[in-house]
Amino acid sequence: MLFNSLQFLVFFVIVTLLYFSLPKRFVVSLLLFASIYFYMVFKPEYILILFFTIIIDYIAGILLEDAKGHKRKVYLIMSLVANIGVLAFFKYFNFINQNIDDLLSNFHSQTPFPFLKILLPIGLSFHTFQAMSYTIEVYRGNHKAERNFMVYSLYVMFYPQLVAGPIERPQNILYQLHAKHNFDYEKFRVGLMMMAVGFFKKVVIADRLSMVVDYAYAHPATQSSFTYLVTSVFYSFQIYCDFSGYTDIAIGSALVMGIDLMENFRSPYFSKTIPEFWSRWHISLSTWFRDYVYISLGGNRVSKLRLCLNIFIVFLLSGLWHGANWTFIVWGCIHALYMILTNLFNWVFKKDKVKSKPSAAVQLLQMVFTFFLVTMAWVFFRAPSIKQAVGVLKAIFSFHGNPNAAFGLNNAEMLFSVGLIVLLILKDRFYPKIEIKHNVKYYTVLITIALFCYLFGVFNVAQFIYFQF
Amino acid sequence: MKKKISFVIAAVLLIVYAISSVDAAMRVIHQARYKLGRAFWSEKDRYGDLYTFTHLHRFQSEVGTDRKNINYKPACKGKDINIYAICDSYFKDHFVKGDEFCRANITLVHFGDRDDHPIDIDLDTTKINIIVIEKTERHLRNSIFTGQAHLESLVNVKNAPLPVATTASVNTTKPVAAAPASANSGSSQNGILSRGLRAIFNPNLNSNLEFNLFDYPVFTRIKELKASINEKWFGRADNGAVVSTDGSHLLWPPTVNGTSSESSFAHYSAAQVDSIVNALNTLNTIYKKKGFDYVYFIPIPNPSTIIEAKYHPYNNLIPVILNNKNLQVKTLDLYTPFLKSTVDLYAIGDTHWNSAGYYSFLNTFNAELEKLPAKR
Repeated sequence: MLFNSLQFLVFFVIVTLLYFSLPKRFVVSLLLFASIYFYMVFKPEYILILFFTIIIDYIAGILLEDAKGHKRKVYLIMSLVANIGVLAFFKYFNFINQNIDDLLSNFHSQTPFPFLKILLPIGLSFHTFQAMSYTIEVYRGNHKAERNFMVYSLYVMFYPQLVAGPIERPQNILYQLHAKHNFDYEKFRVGLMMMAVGFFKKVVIADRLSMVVDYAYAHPATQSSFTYLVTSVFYSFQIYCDFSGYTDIAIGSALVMGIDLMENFRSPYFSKTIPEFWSRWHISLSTWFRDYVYISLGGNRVSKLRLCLNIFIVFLLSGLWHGANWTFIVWGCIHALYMILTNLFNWVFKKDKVKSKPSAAVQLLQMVFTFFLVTMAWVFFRAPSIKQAVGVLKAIFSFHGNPNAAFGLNNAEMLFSVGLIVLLILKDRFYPKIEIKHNVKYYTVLITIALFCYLFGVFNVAQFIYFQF
Repeated sequence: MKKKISFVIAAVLLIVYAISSVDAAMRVIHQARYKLGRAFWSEKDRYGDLYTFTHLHRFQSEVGTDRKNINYKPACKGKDINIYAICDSYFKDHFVKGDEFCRANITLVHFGDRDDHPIDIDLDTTKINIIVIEKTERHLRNSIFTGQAHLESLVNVKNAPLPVATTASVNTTKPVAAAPASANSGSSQNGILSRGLRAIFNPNLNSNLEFNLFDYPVFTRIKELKASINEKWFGRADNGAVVSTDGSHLLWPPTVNGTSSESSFAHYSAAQVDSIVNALNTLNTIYKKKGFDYVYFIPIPNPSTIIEAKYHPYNNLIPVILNNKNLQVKTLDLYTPFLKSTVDLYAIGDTHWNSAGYYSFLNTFNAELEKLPAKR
């Protein structure tokens, strides 16, 4: 079920009203069945895959807690293998098979494995990582195993964050699922406003910018250096608004019910360095990799060479997590390179010993430069192939014109789109959280945003970008 | 108290949600809203299906009222003809009233959608019995040939002179056009499961919710405001319809593009025409064997065929079929009178004809019916 649909709006109202009107003992069941229904709307039979991993991890968590010695590791590995195995099969089987086939074709042979018609279960990467964080935290002794099967199932399947995060930790959410949340007017208002802003980002900004981006990638003959540059900048904001918009709706809809989900974006394009960018973008994923991969590899308590290798591994895996395509792997490697070069710069120039804050002009330059680096990397994220991504970058840096150059929108809508980006930047800079204290003003702003979503929303774009993960 | 109110509101919304999931319930609601009167009609019924895609105000016309006010009384007297019309929405969607056909009573059998159910009849052999196969031009290439086996079995004559072998019964290797599941059909477990899943996860749920919650006159103005902003400021409109070259009508996009099989301007092969002609000839033979006196084929020209005639070269599909020397079925040519007409025959925001177009058809068809010799 897509968030930007009438079906979701009605579903959300029904579930929320029932949540506050039913006795406490029915609340978990309500949310669980609502989440099951929410997931099954995409493809009903894939609920079986989800239940398979839920059952494995539920049992593994209890066994882990009760076991001693090396058995604990065995149960952890069992759980991780099941989760990664499901993820690998559905997401990477055909990709790996295709690469084997391409390799063997050089020797006039072909892959011995059949290509399977596999549809990727929606949100697989997200709920797999969330499930894995549970068993790892139980293994590490940071959280008790959840004995209530329904609560554990809800932890994995909680519908606001089921298909595109934030990727939660058991410490943050399990205790909240046990609690009964009485209606909290403050949380209700904040949650509704977050949802409204999320919808605005998605249907007014992201889906509008996507028309320019899709047009450029579908019609390379109509592009020039300038149009590709604009397209790339637009894509940076498209993916930001698409993903952070979804997250706002997810966090907002949970908050309306009194449940606090973790923050996932913190004005990432105001970052002055790449490391800072990764502390502000898709925070739940970057902290997941930090806590469960980077630190397990030794973190930064290793030699400088090993540190660089750790960074490379983490970002390679991050790229792979985003999709089964070489473009995502290259994107991950580019960010690994950025991070390694940043570390090298700091080591060589001992930057961390500099105490004084740079001037506003320097900070602005740093932000623009960081945004530029991120935008250039996003080209690999968007392009369907490395060849096309390289073509786009070549076109940008060749500074060539094109008499047939065109955008996918008319001039008025291009200006409007630029205006929306400026509005977004101002909002992130000055109003990261919209808090309105007075009721009339609050509802006026809320209704105005809702009206603008309808009047200026673009409603013929199918999915949120991150749904494919 | 607040909890009780919340629960009641949730329950009402849940009922609306559940009803919106069930296609059969939606059909009942649609018919009920139509019977309640214009204030409850859907936008599609009020202003036309293409208008509903775009909400461009200048293409809003009272399509529903126009159809409701159809009042055609043929001059001829007597009822010695029974017509069984295998038809699409050009006949069925509130056009045909039943008493506008010269000398004839008419029974409609819908072909090609969820209302598609075969009927069993006893032919009154004292009267002239006619099968009419009416189909809009854009479906000719897809429906007549591929749906032939199904068309053969839509009207079953219980008192037929001899058992009639249909294509499905004679040639089991030939693919049979799938008949839509009816409520009375024997269902396997898979059928129950897939129907159940469809009821719970209905792909039409969003449009059904829109129909139940927001398809009322009070919301039309805001939809038109959005459409106006998109068109005037951003030069965009919903791609569910295109504007005709002269700006007078909305047209269904596949009927104007250069490649679609529904298009009035796309190429077709001689083999495709032959397959349509052969299918019609087979239908003619089968229904004659069932006891019908005549079988008529009535293709309705696409609106784009007539409206865009001055601007784009028509592919002549209808004249080519009607003039095919091998065609044995009786035909009704509407292309020629429609092309010559100086009156607008199609609704400006709908894929169908308007009352003037329907009257033009009736004039032509009734002239044909009047000429039929009486049965001795």
